[in-house]
Amino acid sequence: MSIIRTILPALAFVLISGCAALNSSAPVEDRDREVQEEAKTHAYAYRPPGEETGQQGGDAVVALLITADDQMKASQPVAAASSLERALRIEPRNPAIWHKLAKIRLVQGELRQAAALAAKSNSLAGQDQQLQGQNWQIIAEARRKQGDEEGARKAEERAAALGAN
Amino acid sequence: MTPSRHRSRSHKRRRSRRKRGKYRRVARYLFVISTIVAGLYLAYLDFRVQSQFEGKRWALPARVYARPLEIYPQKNLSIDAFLAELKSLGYEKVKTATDLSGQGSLGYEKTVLATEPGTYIRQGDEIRFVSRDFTFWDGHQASRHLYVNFQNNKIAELRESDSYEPVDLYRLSPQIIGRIYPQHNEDRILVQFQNVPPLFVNALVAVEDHNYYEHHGISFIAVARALLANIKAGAAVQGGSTLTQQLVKNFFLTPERTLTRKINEALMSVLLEFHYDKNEILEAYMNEIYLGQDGKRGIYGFGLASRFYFGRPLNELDLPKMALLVALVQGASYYNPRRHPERALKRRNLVLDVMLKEGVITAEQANKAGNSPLGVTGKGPSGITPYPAFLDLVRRQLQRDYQEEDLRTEGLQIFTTLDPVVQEKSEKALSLKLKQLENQYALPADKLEGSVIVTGSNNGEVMAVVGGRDPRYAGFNRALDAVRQIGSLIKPAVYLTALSQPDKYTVMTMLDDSPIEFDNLDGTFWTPKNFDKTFHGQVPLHAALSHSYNVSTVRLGLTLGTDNVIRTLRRLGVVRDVTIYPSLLLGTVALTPLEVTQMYQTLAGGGFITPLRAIREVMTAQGTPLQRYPLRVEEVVSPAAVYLLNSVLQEAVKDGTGHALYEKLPHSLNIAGKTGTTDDLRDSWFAGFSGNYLSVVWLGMDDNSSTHLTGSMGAMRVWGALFSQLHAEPLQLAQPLDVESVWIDPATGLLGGEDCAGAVKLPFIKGSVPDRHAGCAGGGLKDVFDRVF
Repeated sequence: MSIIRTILPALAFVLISGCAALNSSAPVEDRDREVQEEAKTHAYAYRPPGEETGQQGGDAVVALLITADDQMKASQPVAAASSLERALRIEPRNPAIWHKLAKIRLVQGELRQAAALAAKSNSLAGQDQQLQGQNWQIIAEARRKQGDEEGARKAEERAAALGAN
Repeated sequence: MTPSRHRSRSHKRRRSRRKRGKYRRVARYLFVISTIVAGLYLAYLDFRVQSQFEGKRWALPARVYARPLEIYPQKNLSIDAFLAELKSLGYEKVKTATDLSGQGSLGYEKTVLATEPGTYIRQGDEIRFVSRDFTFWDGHQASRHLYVNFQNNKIAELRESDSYEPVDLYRLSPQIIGRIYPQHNEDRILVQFQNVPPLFVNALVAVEDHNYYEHHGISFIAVARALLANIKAGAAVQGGSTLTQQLVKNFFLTPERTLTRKINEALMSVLLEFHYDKNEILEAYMNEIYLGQDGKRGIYGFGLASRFYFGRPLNELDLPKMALLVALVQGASYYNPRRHPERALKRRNLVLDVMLKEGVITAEQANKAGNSPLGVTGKGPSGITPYPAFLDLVRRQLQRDYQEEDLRTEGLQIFTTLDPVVQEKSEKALSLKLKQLENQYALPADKLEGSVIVTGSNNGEVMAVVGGRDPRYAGFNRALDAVRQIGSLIKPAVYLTALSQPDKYTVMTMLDDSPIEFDNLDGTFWTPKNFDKTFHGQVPLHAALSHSYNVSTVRLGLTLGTDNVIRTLRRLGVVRDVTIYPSLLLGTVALTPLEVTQMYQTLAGGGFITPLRAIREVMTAQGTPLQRYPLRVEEVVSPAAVYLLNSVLQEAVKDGTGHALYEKLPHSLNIAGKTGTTDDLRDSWFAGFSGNYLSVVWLGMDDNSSTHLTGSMGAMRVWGALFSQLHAEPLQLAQPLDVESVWIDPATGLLGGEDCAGAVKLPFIKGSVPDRHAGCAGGGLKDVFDRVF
């Protein structure tokens, strides 16, 4: 798989989905960091850090992630979630997909599911601290929106400890 | 005052005039009244016609679909499995692109080209196919020309047929696996007028009512002609009925043949034509007409008849097939092409003659078609589902959200999670293994029963349900309804309860496997024994579970408290009431295979429960999305604890009671599994999961007698046979951040090293790792230094 095919969709995804879930008013430098993180997350989709999994269907999963992106852009979160569920049928243990599903639930206001899916992503993320940090951020936001300020703070601490911004 | 002399004549005249006047008045009144009555009656008929036609909802059965097959490069899929899917979808194999004659484009000589939707060409390992349009829940997908190439039971390439552009992913339309019928057992596939090939419309009109587009409901010419023919023949040989009248007859009225009925029919036909246009009426006719019988199921309408006789949709038929369908109108049973092929052929060719006479086709076309075979498939696609056990599950899940009546009559489209490939492999594994086991252990033939369920290990989608050794038989659904003791399958719940308390229990915690006795307080005692009839003294927790020791489990469970164990069961998703005796710790709990699957689903899900789903979406008959059943998870048990437990379950397969599984499967799969056996070997269970599939197998006798099989002798063999056929992915448990793996010296249970004989790597929740080293790892002095510095 060429660099172009990995980075380009990753970039596209980042630039488009940046607005969708988490606070999108990040300054330019943070955006670059976001791009890197997302690219790593994306790369995780087929080659989890330090593991040789021989996973099939990498391109198919990318195609579905991009479709999900487009659908989020078009304010169709239900369709986007459906695309991610299709991706999960191909790679059921890919934590990046569960993470993206968590983000969609956040957008939809399904806060309990957002937190649960983020936790699920963590349970599959093994040693990928970056992704786990991002998941804790989702959990923090979900808790905050549910009025659990204390829980949100604790989650943010976890995120920070894992090296997320 | 008139003189009496004149009275008689003028009086008489006046009287008769008055009488005539009176008669006239009466006649006028009668006339007015009868007009009003007739008018009212006509209005009544008119109301009936309109309301029936407008509010016309044929009671349509719900259509149940399997999962749509998704193909992509590198997907594990054999060419045979792909072809089986195309076959189930009614795709027609075409020999080569040049092997065909005829125009094809105007629908006259509709020999199949490889450019028609629903066709494919095979050349060795390569397949070119043209998919059909289909409206999915998330939108319409247009037909496409694709190329796919298989190597080593995988898809090597997927491309556009023409441009050869690579395609990342393609979703085929799903196959129908069943229907939920209306009470009266009429079955239909509705067609819309604009989608019916013009040739077919012309054929129908030419044969049944060639003045259709000219008359206004009844045709006096036709009636006169029929009358003449009948008089000539001295019997009723010809009907003067127009298509409209035929529709009215079938649609509105019951099949009596009286004069009143005939009059009503005529009146209603005229009224119908008054309100609705020709094509609307024709469409209703095409959907109403009776065209065959399949056991209890009546075949109505050309849409379904086309599928029933030819396995293809109406718009994919060629001329001879169209002619045969038209031929059936006059007598679906009499001209049944499967029962009475000669009659059917004769009538079909008669239809072709009429079409020729009416100028609908040319002589050459008529000739060619007349010489073609009937083209019917051997047997109609059954109205009875081949997957009764799975459909059972679908209906139960639907009943939570839909009324039975709606299910039977609204033509709902139900998209399920069934994977026919996995289902078939499950059925085969069960039936083959049951026979083998009966031979191997000299068991009475055909008595041993079983059930298999397969789900996606992380999304809870039910891919296969086998309810018994005879999967086609819609009888007792053991997968959903056989409530049986689960035996050792309960042990993971006990050990999970322990491992959820890392301050008290780790995988190395020593358990006491020495004899224990309970006073039942009624004079009897309960003395649990291990399967191997031995007591093992002090055993580490992981070994007690992987070897499925009963005695240490009972001690552990009692220490933990049975109510805590039950709480764990509930968290894992077990809803059924459970008897709270200590024996529950050894699995006197009774559950159905589906309930066991839900329980192990939570383990496979890493502590996250996902309710088992058989349905993904429901749409209306027209394609409007109604409901979606999305993927949901909930964290119910500590993922770190579940990680520990699953690691031990992997050990159970590698070294414990499940080790024989690796005689047939590669070690690299790293399966996590648990055998289950009950008292007197009445039940043989195995529950296990790989990276992508979870499956629970149960074997037992319906009369609850002994199977003579343990979990590993029986159910596990079925499970192994199944997984050797599935494309199972290895189970690579992702170690959570709060778990660490350390080397342990098995002799002491302390930290070990490479120098320690038989050292094993075991997982511990952080903070619960043993803090001392074994002697062989430099313990003693090392520990002193570690503590000081």
